[in-house]
Amino acid sequence: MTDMIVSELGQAWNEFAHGFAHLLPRLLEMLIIALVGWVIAYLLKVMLRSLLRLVKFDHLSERAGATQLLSTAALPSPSELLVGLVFWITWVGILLAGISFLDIGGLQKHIGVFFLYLPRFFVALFVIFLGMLASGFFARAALLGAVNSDLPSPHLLSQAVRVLIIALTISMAFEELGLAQRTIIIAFTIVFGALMLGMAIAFGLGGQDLAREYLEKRLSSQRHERKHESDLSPL
Amino acid sequence: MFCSGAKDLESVLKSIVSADTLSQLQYAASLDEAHFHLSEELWAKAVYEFASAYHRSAISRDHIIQALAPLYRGRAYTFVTENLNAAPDALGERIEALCVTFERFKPYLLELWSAPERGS
Repeated sequence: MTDMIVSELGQAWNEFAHGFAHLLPRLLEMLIIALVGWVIAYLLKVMLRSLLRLVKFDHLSERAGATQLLSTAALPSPSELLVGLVFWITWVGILLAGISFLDIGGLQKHIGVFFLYLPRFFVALFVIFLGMLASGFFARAALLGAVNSDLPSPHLLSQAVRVLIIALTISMAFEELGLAQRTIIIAFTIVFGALMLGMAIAFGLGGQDLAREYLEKRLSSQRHERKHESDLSPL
Repeated sequence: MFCSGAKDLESVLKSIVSADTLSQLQYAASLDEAHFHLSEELWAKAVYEFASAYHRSAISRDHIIQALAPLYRGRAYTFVTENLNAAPDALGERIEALCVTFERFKPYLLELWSAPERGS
């Protein structure tokens, strides 16, 4: 009985020692990969920062109003945000590749999913960046147009344009990421539809005389043009 | 339009004119109609800052031009109220004086023009 227990314990110890000996070189490999990954990510960060400075990325963002938007949200400048993101994604990506060397069952599949997800993540980020640029630009255009046309509540109009474009951008980004696709699409459709319906009702009730006058003017001028064309026609 | 422009376009004007000019414009906008006055010096300074912002494309160039419209209205109002009963000769002198103010501020324009771009 005692011999059996001792034998089993010895076998268990041997298996543990064998497993540890098998894992140790892989663990070292992973650590080396993590270190090399950090160096690569850091170099990439430095290169990207120089490139963005060269193409005046911050200046472009400032012009489009993205910098102000980020500073309002207490976030760093767009170039620093992008550089930081690239650094962490590169390092985490390489680290995960290193972890896959440990040969832990089930982990490989998740790492594969992560790598497949990366391009979609970058596309979503690009969509958000473009959306922020567009929202800043069009919100400012709406504000200037409203002030110069002496319209009431120019800020409200400008913010409405900004919110609409940001909502559209977020729904596009979420769709790209594949997160809560149905919810986002349904929510966006409801909000957009309600907004358009509200505007149509407001215009129809508040500006029905204006709408009638506009249509009458437009139709009568078209009729006039058609008549004029038929007068000139050699046929 | 000048008053609402100076108030509502604050976020846009911030990226075009200096803080000092902006505060002077906002002070002018806070005055009532009877006391409203946009001085030649402030107008010349603002125009040069707009020109510099246009040169370095601080924001979209179309937007810079559009943002100048309310200030132009303010200056036009001041000019009209100042010269409402002026004789043609006096009017010519006032225009000449405005030109001299623009000439006097030319070094300021040169300074703005050659200043290093923000953010670089």
